[in-house]
Amino acid sequence: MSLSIADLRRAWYLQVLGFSVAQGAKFSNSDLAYQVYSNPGAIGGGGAQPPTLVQSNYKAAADLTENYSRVLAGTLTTGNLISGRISLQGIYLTSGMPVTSLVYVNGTTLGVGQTNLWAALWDINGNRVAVSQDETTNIVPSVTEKVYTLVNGPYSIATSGMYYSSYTWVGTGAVPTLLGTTSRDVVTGLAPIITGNGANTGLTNPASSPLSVNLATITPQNAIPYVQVR
Amino acid sequence: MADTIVDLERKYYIQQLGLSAGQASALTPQDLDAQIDSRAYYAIPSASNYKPNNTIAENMPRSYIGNTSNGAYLSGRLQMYPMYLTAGMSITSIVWTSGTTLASAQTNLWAAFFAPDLTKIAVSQDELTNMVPATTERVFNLVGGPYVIATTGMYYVGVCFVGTGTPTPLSFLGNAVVNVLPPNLNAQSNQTGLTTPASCPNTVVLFNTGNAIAYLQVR
Repeated sequence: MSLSIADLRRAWYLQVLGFSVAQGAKFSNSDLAYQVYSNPGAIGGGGAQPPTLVQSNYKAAADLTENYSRVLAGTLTTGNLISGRISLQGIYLTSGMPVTSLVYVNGTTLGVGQTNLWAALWDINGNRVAVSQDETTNIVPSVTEKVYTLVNGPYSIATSGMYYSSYTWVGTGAVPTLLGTTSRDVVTGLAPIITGNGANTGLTNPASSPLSVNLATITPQNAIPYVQVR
Repeated sequence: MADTIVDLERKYYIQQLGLSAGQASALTPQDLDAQIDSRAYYAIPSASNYKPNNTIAENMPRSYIGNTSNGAYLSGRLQMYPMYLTAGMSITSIVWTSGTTLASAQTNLWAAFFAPDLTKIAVSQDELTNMVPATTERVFNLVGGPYVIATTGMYYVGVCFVGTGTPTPLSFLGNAVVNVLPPNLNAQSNQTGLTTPASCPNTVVLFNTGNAIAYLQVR
């Protein structure tokens, strides 16, 4: 039962990163030794704190992940939503994650004349993975979290990487706002785009949602709605 | 035969719980795996997962840098920001993004790269009167680059504007009360009256910590 210091460091590194046993098993000893070596802060060696730990340490307990830390989601007027268009947010998901639902928090502006509202999940190539049910006229109150359960979920993520969560609102009047943070399109639009509106217009309900979106034609936006995955 | 990673994870978990050998032997490998998995986060929740593809490192996540009107630059002083870089990174250029306040009567604009002890490693070309439009990236290629980082640590990037306006960077608006804590997150050079890259001091002395931290990338 005795472990060498090198063994302990490798095992500690895996668990502190939050890998499942199956995820951890994908690493070789030499892979891990290199990662531990290249992240001296992660083993309490007096370096800077490990950047890979910051966000997960503060995420909501119910969440699998979030698109950025909720600590910095302080703007109640984000979204730049357009009725009938897909608003996409980049979210990094890892292998093995069972995605049941996407969560958006509404801001202070309520939608007017809402007829449809749904969310969807897309892969790094813009192919649709799943859509939620349609909320139809069920308006989300201001500053309130709304869970969009994916139809036929949970979806198990096969490959770690950037995915996209999307929010589509349809109505006759003013568009709602979402809780988020504000950046600038000049940098959010650098590949991979992390927030923007898809080119498809006039969408009406989940059935009208395209099976794929062209990520190259997304119009980048300044504001990044806060997205949680459960 | 050497332990596999899975063996190591199980043993480490047992040690974390402080179980005796007798207690541990009552747990099956399946029990242990289920317990370890129940603590897994699944995500590797690193801000670096969201950085631009062509960027080696950012000084902060690009998601948070929506401020365009603070942190105005004074002519002839370096504006200094730290960047955490790791050994092996090959740095060709520094990328700075402008805010909404434009320079005026610009005569020089350049960037410089400094070691953690604030000694100069390299300077960029001089942009001279080539002003940066509002909220636009500008790539400053380092003369003699790329520079390969030998030692992981907090390096510094400096940007020097010379002219009569006070241009602003795209930034995160923090507060000098915490920015001033070492390592300083946003200061000016104590040296004034700088003009061209050739005038860049060999060692910068920091002065006058500010609130707004410019968004910087290295490529």
